[in-house]
Amino acid sequence: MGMPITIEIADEKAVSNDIEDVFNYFKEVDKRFSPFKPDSEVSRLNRGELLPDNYSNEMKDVLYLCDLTKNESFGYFDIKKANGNIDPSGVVKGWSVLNAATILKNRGYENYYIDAGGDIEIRGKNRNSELWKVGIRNPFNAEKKEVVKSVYLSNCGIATSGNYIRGNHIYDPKAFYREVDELLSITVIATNVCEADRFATAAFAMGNNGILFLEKINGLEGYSINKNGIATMTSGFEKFTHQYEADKQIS
Amino acid sequence: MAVLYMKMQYFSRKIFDMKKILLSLFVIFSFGYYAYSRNESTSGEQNIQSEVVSTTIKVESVVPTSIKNEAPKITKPIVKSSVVKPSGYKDGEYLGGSFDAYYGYVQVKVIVKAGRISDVVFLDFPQHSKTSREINSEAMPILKMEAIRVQNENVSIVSGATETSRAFRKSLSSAISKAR
Repeated sequence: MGMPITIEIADEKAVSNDIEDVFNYFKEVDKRFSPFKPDSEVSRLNRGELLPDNYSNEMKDVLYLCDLTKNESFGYFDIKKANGNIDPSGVVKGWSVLNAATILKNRGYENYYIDAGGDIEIRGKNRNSELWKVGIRNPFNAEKKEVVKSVYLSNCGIATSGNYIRGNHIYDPKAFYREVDELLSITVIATNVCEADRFATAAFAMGNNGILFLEKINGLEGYSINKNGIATMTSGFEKFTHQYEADKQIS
Repeated sequence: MAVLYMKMQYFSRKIFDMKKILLSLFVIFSFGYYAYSRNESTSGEQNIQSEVVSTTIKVESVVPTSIKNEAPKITKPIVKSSVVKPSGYKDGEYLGGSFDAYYGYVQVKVIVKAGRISDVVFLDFPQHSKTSREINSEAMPILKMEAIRVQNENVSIVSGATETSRAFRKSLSSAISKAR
């Protein structure tokens, strides 16, 4: 996917082959879904070289998720671009991280996180047997990795949607000509990273209403940062900022 | 002015009800005012352009937050085209553009009789009943806000956005405007 991937396993035994397999999985995802690779499945699809019957199961899964997200977000999430091509990147990242976590889970790991470009699936506890501490990045300083908010997480996913250097694929589908710039970023905590990613992308496209959209949906909490440096959080978000809070269920 | 009335067929939240009423009243009155002002100005002119009138209203911010506490901000009503007869609008039914309600799209149908608005009907309803997620349908929330501050703690895992370089964004928007 052309983005940094970090895996940390806190379980006592971590076999390097398992980690290698996860990285290889991401390479396969990139081969299939990268819009920058001319012979990726998504590029071939966009050139009209593929019939829907011939889509891979992975492509069908992703397209289904894109469709679902579009319905649930009243059209604000829409993978169809102005030029008629589709770009499912807003779903592929979270979806692939969740699949990668399943690989580790199936091999018996319980305490780890997988981070692909800021979309993170978090399981269990860190090496100190504490909740994993995750920072929300300062959107005003692209050069440095500054944190403006910290949350403590376990067994959930977190994703941040904003403007990416590899393509401003986030825009208002209701008005193609208008780039969404009321918000700089919106961060979503959900039951898993796939949910977090698709709803972060959808909520970001809604601008200032995105955080309200998240508030209304059970199972999602959000933290948005606007261009004035003001953050708005959903009513259930704040519990994640407390390190020793016993009950961290997402509601 | 003829009697105006609205049919509202969908709602579950009272506060939002009121905003929608306000909004639709605004639609009607701006529509009506436009009709009135066109009325005044067409004496002596020949006006032969055709007639679908649509009103698009973009609702920027529907919900009061803990800092802002104002009625919905309505920006940029766009009324296309013009009157056919000096007496007002041509009789018929006109579809207004969908506008963003908080929860989806609402399309307004304006019915004109005898050159005047006789009815405004809400057509399109939010699709939330089709979603798989349970939606909490209480009153609009007031959400906590804060000014962000850079924290100096050491955090190894970071969820981030905004790696945009300005040059890249500029070239992208010029590409978009060429494509239009």
